[in-house]
Amino acid sequence: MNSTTTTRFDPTTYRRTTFGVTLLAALALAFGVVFEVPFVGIAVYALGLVAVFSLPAVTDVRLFDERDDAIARKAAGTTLTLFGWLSAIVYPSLVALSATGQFSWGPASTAVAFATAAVYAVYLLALGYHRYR
Amino acid sequence: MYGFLAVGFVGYIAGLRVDAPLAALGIYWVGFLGFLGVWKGSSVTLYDERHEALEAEAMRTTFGVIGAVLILVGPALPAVLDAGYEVPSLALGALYGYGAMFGVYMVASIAVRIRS
Repeated sequence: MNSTTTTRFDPTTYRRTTFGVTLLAALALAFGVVFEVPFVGIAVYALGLVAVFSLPAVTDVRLFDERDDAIARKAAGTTLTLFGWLSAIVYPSLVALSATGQFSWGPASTAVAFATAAVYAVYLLALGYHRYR
Repeated sequence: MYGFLAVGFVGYIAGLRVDAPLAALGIYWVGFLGFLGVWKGSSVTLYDERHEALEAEAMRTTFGVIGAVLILVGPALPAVLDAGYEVPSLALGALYGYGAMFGVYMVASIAVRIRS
């Protein structure tokens, strides 16, 4: 007689649970900020994320397959390419305009410029790591 | 290809140093467009599948790092503000920048999933 093993939930159920709990955690954080109870929001957020990160360890099903990996890689590529093009076009012009006095760097624009530079620094490090690993 | 880019960057920085920002920008654009011309116009295969796979993996790792920063640092903000500390605009701007980038990533993920 053939024996079969069954699981109560399929990967889709786990993925939906992961998405739902993550959304709930983010909403709890926003709730905490809006209603000035930040530590309640942070506690619910932390609980939600612990649950999300624990889920793969306690389940015997594979939550993300090769297709999910391919989608993640493609989406990351699209996003970094988009920001790369924007950076290559916008930032040199802003620096030149700031030199002519027609633009001045505020805290927000400076922060976004440094944050973007930091992202590409991480990318170069990751590229080097994957190349020489 | 990288020569064009190097000329563009070096010319740009040199132009800014001698207080000729518009000339600097012009040199940058010449270098950048030269780089694009070689990259897109060349009939030679500049990057093979291995390089593309490395790039894809590096991009995914980069988004893992951005995600970790947002998950760990983002929630600390309400607590820091509640405790009476002032968060520097630089830190807030950087976080909003990462948030926007991650938002675009999520939209791209959904678009790729729907199209595939």
